[in-house]
Amino acid sequence: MYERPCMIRLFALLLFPFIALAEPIHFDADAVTYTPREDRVVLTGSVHVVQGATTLDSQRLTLDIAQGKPTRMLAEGRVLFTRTGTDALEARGDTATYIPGNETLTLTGNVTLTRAGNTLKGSNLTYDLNTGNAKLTGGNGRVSGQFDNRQD
Amino acid sequence: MPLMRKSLTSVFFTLAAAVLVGVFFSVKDNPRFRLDLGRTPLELVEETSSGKSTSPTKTDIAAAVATSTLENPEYIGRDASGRVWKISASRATQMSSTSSSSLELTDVAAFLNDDAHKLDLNFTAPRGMLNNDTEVLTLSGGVRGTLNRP
Repeated sequence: MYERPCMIRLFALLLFPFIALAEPIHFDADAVTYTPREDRVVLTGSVHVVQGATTLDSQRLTLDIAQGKPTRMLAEGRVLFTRTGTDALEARGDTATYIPGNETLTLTGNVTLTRAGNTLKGSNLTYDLNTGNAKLTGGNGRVSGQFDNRQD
Repeated sequence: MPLMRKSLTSVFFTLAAAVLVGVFFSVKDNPRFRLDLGRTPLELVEETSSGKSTSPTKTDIAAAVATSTLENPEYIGRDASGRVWKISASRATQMSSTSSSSLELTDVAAFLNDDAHKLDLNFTAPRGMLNNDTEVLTLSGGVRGTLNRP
């Protein structure tokens, strides 16, 4: 379990939802396919997504839409999620699922989480975009990690 | 002698003509052979937002494929859910055959707008393909897009 100090978390909780809702999501990819009958947009080839201070890179990204709202974003293949700023982190995995409604990003498969020079490895990462809380679990209940204890 | 030579020449040409006719009818309905009748140019005229555009099209004996090129076309529609979609391009080539119909697009901008839910999704790309049968739009050659969230 990765947690920020209380004041920073409170600040992020108060401020980030408004920033996140106001920011448009920008896409960049080799190709995109839109299938209206399935309400699905699929981006392929070096997919790069930017929303404010967060980025999401993958080989394939599927965006599901229901009743005019994006309901799920699924990134597959060499997924890299980054956030810059006060809550900076970098997370890698095989797949990532983003649910716009509850602002949660879930990474699965060979997950590596790097934050403030510390690295943790596991199989499943749940990251709350509102609070900045990250929960990492191992495939068989174990998580390995490396902490940077250097004093700057 | 000249009369005999003339007779032989006539017989030769008659036999040659008979052989050619026989070969023609044996090949005509044989599925292993295909008679290429050449490409017949057609003229199609379609209305676009920037005016009329014409281009030669082609037909083929195996599958009748017709093409027409449009300059600066815009395609606007509304689906069953009330969402407005719009596709614009610097050029669009309509590919029509007996089995399918599609549009090859150049310098494409595609928009999907849903006022009811404030969904605004747009993409731009150098190339595109719109399949009229499956209604699937594929953009390629480097795509950029923006999703404005509700």
